[in-house]
Amino acid sequence: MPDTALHTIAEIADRMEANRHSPHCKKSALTWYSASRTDVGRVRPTNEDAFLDSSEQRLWAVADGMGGHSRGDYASSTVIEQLRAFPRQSALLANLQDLEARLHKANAQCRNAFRNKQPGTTVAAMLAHGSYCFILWAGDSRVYRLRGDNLEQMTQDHSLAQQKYINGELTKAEKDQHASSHILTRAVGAHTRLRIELDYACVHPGDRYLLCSDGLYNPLQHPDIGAELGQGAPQDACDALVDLALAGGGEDNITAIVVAAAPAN
Amino acid sequence: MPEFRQHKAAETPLYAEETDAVLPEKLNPNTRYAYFSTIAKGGKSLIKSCRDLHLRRTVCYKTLRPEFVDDPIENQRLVREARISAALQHPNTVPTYELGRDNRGHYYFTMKLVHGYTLRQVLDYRERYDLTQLMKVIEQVGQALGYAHSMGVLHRDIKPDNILIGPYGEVLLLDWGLAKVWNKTDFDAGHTEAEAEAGMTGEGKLQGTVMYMSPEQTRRDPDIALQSDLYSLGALLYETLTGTTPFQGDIVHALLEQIRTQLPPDPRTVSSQKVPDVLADLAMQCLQKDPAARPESAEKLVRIIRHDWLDR
Repeated sequence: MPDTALHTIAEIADRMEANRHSPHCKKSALTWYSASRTDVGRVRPTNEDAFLDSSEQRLWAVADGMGGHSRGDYASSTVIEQLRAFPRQSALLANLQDLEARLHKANAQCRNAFRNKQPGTTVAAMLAHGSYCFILWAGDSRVYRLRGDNLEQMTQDHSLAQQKYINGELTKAEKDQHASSHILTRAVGAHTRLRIELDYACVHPGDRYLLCSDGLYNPLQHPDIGAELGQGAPQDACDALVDLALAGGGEDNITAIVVAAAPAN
Repeated sequence: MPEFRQHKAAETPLYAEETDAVLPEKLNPNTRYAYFSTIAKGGKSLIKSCRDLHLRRTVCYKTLRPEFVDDPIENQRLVREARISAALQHPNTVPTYELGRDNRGHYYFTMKLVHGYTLRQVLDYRERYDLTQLMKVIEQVGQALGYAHSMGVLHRDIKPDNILIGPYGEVLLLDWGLAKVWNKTDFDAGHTEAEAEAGMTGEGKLQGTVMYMSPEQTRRDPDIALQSDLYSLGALLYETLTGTTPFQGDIVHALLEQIRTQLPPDPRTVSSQKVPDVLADLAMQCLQKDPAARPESAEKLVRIIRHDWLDR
C-alpha cells in the first residue's frame, strides 16, 4: 500500500468483519506472547534504538535513531514514548488514525526540538486487531512473518536501493548488497509532511513476527532468521537472533521483538 | 533544462534460445506465468512482476489479495478495471495484455511492466525540476484524461502516486480501479452509474485519496461528472506550482470541510518562487467548488497549458 489511506482501510476493516467466515482468514481467538531485547552492539558507543513491547496494547514497535543525524536517540525515544501512550480503542479506524497522528506528532517534535540538529529515526510498528495485524513503518526497520517454514518480509525498506529495485535499476539480488541500501528515503523527523506506509495481513494461529532494526538483519542471512525465529519460546528466539547478530560483528545497535500468535485456550 | 533521470533497466538481453523456443502444441494457461515477485500492494490488490513463458517477457500481473478473492464486489471491480484499462489505448496509458483466471479460478490481468518514477517521487524533490518540464507532465496527464472522458470514463483517483514517468520520459496515467463508467441506456438521460450492485462503490464510503478529491466526490454526488477529474488535476497542478496541496488538514473531517467550503490560497501567495499568472489562474479555476465554473474539458486545460504557457 503506497501510503496510509485511512478511508480505504476503514472500508477494508468493515469488509473483513463482513467476510469473517472467509476460508482465507477464519476469525479465531488469538493470544499474543512477545519478548524483546536490545543490545548496543560491539562498535557503537551508545544505543540509539528504542522499542515498545506491549502485549497488553497488542502494539509492538522498533525505532532506530539515525546516527548520521545527531541525537538519533532523542528521535527514537520520542517515537516510542508517543506510541507507549497509545490508548487502545475498540474501533480499528480510530486506532489507526491515532497511531498515524502520534507518528506525525513525533515527526513534528523531532523537527522542532533543536536549533541546529535534525534528529531522525526509522519506525516499524505492528498493531494486532482481531484476526488481522496492521503494520506501519517508515525507513528500513523491518517486520518479518514466519508461517510454517516460510519467512516473509512484510515491510519494504524505504531506502534508495529499494527504490532503484522498484524502478528496475537493480535486481533483487543486487538490492541488498548495493551501497545505497543504507540511504533512507523516508524517516520520522526527516520530512515536513511524513508519509507513513501501512499494510495489513491475516494472522494465523502459530504465526511468529519479528520486528527488528537493521543491526539485526544486516549480519544475518534470510534462512538463518527463519530458523532462529521458529525456535523455542519467543524469548529464546529473540535471544538467539540477537546473539547471532552479535556474533556476526555487532557493528550496529541491535533490537529484536518476537511476537507469537497462539490459539486462545 | 534538466531531464527526468533516465535509468538503465535491469533487463536481460535477448538470446536465440529464448526467442526460438518451441511453443507446446497444447497450451496450458495455468503454466503461462512464473517467477512471481510482488512489487506493490494495494488495499485490496497485489501487483506482481512475472515471466510470461509463452512470449518470454516480463509483465505486470494484477490480482486480488487473498482476503478478497471470494468477494464478488471486488472481483467485479477487478474485471471492470481490466476492461477499462484495456479499452483505453493511448500513449499516456499502460497497455493491458490479458484478462484471465489462475489455476484456482481467481481473476488476474496482465499489463506492460513499466519501471519509472511516480510524480509523487518527483514532487518530493520538486526543486530539482524545471517548471516547464513538470508542466509537460501535467499536459500529458490532461491528454490521457481528455481521451478517457471522450470514451465515457471518469478516472476518480487522480493523484501523484498514479502518474508514472517511464524510462524514456513517457508519462502514464495509472490505476483505473476506481474509474466510473455509465450504463449505455442511461448515458444520455440520467448518468446512472453502472455498478454491479448498489454497494459497489463502497457502501457509501469515500473512494480515492481525499487530498485530491473534488467537493462533489467527497459528497458522493451521484451526478459526478468529468469536471471532478479536472478538480483533481487542478489540485495536482496546484501542488506542482506551490509544493503543497491546496488543503493540508491532518484530520480527515477537517480536510473534507476545507475541500467543501474553502478556496485554497492563491498559488502566487504560497510559493516562494514566481508562479506564472496563467498557471495560477488555471489551478484556481480547476479548484472551483462549482463544477460548471471549472474548465469545460481536459482538452481546454491542455490547450491553456500548451498555448498560453509552453509555446508562449
